[in-house]
Amino acid sequence: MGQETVTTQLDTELRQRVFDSIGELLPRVLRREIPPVSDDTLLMNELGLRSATMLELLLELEENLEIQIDVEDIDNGGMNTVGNLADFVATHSIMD
Amino acid sequence: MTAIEAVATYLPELRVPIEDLADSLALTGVQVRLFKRFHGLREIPMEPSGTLTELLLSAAARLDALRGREHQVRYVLHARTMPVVVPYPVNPVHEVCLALGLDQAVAFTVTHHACATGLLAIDIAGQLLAADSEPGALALVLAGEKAFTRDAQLVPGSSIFGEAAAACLVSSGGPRDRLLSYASSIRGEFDGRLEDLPDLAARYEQEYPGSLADALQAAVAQAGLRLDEISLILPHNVNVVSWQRLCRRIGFPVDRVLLDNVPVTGHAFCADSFINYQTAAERGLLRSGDRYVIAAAGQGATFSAMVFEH
Repeated sequence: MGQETVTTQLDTELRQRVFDSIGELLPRVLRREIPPVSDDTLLMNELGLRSATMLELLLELEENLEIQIDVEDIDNGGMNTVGNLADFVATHSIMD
Repeated sequence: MTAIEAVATYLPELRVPIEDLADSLALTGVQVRLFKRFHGLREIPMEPSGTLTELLLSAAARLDALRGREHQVRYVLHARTMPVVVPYPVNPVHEVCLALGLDQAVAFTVTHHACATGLLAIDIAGQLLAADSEPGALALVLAGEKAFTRDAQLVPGSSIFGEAAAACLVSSGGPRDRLLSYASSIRGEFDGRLEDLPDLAARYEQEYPGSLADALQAAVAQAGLRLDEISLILPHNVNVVSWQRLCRRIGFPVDRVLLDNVPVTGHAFCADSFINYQTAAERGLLRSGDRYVIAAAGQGATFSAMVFEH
C-alpha cells in the first residue's frame, strides 16, 4: 500500500467518483439491469439491496476506486439511499 | 435449578480455508472476500470420512465428568439444526448411547429451533430432571452436525457451517453454571428457504437484529439483571458483523462477546454455544459469580437467550 490518507471531511471529487461507481456497480451486485440512480434512490426498498449485497457493493467499490473503506462504523440503517452511501464511503475511506 | 456440570468439545483437525469451498458452494470471489472481510470467517473444520455418530462420540469421549456416572444419565438429547440428517432407520443418538453405555437413558433429538435448538435442549433437559425422582439424575446434551449438502453448509450471505461437536452434562442442581433464565421467541412467519424467497429474506434480515436483541434483553430482565451486569455473551458463531451491529443496537461492548472462534470453527450448528463456553472457561474469562448470556438465532425463525451464573 502506498501513502495513506484518511478522509475525515467530505471530499467532493471522491464523493462524485463514489457516486458514479455505485451506479456502475449496482447492476453487477444485483445481477440485473437498473434505471439510472440519483442521490435519493432507496437502496433497500427501491433497488432490493440486502445486507450481503450491500457489503458486496462496498468490496467492489474498494477495488474499483482503489480505496479501503473503514467498516467499523458501518450500519445499514444509516445508509438507506445512494446519496447516504456515497457520503459514508467518501468520509470513511483510506486511499490505497 | 438447572445447571451445567461439564462441557467437552471436539474440533476435527482438518481445517478447510473458505476459498477452497468456493467451487462446491458456488461462491464468487467477491462473496468469499465478503465472508472473510466482514463476516470474520477464515477456515471451516471438516471430517469428510467421519459419520455423525463418530463426530458426537468424539466430543462425548472428552467429557471426563461422565466417566463412572453413566448409570446416572437418564436423558440424552441431540440438539440439531437440521430436522433430517440420516436415512431411516439409522439413528445416531441411539448409536451414541450404545457406545457410551447409556442404553438405559431416554434418548431423542430436539429440533425445529434451528441453530437455537441447543438452548432449547438445555431447557428441556433441566425440566425433565426437575420432574425426575431419581437422585443424582443427569442429562447429556449433544450438539454438532455434518455439513452434508450445500444447504447444510451455507447460509447465503451470512455464514458457512463447520463440523464440530459438543457434549454437555446437565443436572437439576449444582453450584457451577446455574441457569437463571431462558427467553425464546418463535417467529414462524419467517419459515421458508430464504435463498428462493427474496421478500421473505429481506423481512427476516430487517427483523433479525431487533428480535435477537429482544430475546437477549428479555432473558437478562427475567434474571432480574441489567445488561451492564452481564460479563460476557457467548454467541452463535454465525458471523462477526451481525454481532457488531447487535452490540451497537443494545449498547453492549462487542469485546465482551466471544467472537474469537468464528474464524476457526465457522458456524458449528448448535455446538457454537458450548465451544464458546469451553473457550471462555479455558481462558479464565468467567469468574465465580459472573453472569453471562448464551444467545442464538435459528432460521425459521427462533431467537433465544439464556442467562447463567458461573
